[in-house]
Amino acid sequence: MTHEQAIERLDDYASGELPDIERRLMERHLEGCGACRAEAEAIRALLADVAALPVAVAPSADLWQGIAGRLEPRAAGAPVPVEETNVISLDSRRKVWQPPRWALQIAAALVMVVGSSLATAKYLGRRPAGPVATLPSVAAVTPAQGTGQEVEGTVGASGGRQVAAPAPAGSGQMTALAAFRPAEREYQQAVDDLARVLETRRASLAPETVTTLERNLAIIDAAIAESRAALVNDPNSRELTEMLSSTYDAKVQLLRRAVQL
Amino acid sequence: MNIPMRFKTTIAAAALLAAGATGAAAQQVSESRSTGPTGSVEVHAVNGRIRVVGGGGGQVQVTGTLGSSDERLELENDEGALVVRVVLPRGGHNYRSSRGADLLVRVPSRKTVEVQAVSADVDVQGVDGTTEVQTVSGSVRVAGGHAREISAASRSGEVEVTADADRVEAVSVSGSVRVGGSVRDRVEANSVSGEVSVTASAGEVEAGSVSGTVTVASMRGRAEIHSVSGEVRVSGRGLSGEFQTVSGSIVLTGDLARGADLELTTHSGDVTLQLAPGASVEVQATTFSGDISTDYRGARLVRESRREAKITVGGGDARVTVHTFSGDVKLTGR
Repeated sequence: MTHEQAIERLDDYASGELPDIERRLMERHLEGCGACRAEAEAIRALLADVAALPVAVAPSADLWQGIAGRLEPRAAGAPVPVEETNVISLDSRRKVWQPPRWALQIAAALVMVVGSSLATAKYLGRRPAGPVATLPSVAAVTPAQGTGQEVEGTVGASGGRQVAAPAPAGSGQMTALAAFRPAEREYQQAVDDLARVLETRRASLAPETVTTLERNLAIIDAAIAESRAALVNDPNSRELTEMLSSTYDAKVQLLRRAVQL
Repeated sequence: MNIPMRFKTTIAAAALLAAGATGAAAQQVSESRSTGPTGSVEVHAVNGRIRVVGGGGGQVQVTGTLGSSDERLELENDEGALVVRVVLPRGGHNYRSSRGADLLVRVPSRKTVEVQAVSADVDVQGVDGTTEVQTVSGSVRVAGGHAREISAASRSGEVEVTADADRVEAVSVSGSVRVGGSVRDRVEANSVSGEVSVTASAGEVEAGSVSGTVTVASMRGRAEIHSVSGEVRVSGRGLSGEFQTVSGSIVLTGDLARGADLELTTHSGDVTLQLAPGASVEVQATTFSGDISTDYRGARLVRESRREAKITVGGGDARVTVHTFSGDVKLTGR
């Protein structure tokens, strides 16, 4: 490869888009050409700076709203109008900065998981006041986290009018905590998925941003632990269930925003 | 690679097309193109300062200085858009050490405007077309104009939008975000660690920060405000909506309108309602281990259980629901 040919292809090389054969020729040229090596490094540095630019914020946010919006009626069994999927309001004009397709695919996949979690959690956690739902069998609850103890757990001192009476053992009534547990598993799955994606993006975030995120995730985790411990002691409390659900929401929202940075 | 092709082209051109050593002296530039009153203008620059000003006529004019004598200004039509681009030289040019461009771009006010920069400060004034600005470390300011949509984003710089628009989206990761003016439809304002302030008279507001204070005032529609550890401060007679933190406190100040409906949720933050004299509100508060109290004159507090209480002021025309785990709830006067 001549010096002039190398110059023409340096940008594609630096951005990893050169075909294999040309890439090898380029590397051979770079071994003997300090000017091109320096130029390639300069381009890489600039590309790295540009890669740190915020991705198109509006489409990603709207993508979330659109898919999450479709998931909630689906969770309730309602049909999903096709036109509701097209909610990206800025797409009528030519977009210069499009998020990469893989990012959209990941976002869409995560949105499906998280949206499903939120829909389930809200469905379980925001019922009208009154006794918690009676399901066919307590035994149907996955005993993954000490179900028996929690289902039959002692009721706290509360007894407020919106708090259901304790479910007698073997009565077939499910406590608020037990009813929330499937949603909690979905929240946890969503959190795990988002955390994995966030981990892959960690290097692209400023250290102080990572610190802020970690500090606030720890605050949320402490709040979840506190709410959950209280709920274990008072498993029929709808208020505590809603508080726990609300705090999980906060965690999912924080992670979702973080992966969009 | 996750880089827009047009911008990548700018970078590639910047790095490849020019030759020679870096010139030290700034370079005066003045270019113009007839474009008609509509369509779009894109401005791509790496660093410096970019001002875009909307006005009359059908011309795009670019004046100002480039960071060095070997940088150059390029104006070209691309798929119907006029693209204004600062092209940096290759050959060891370090854009970080360049003083950067200082450009004034005059555009017909109805143009759609897009500005993309790395570390340039961007200022857009008087543009009525859809406006989108993105920069990494520079500040963004959008003012004046009657745009349908404004989108402004920076990673570490401050973002300020003061405009008459249908919809505004303003985002910064670590910088502050401020939105004022009048927004008919919706404001979205978010930051991770920066403060967020929405004073725009808006139909709908979604605003939040992870650790920064979020302030919303002059609301006339519904709001969704959220924070983890930052404080949420809300005021305005027309308030309705949901306000949520994990450990940050929530302070609501104002004279709630008849029919206002607010839901405040926090895990360990304190909730303070500072109401004006003569208020008419019913507060339904629930807390697991926090206190519920009031010193508002004439307020009636009824404890419904150890964890629940209702506070009624006047006729109870506005409704506020508060949930906390350990945060205290207090209704007080101003």
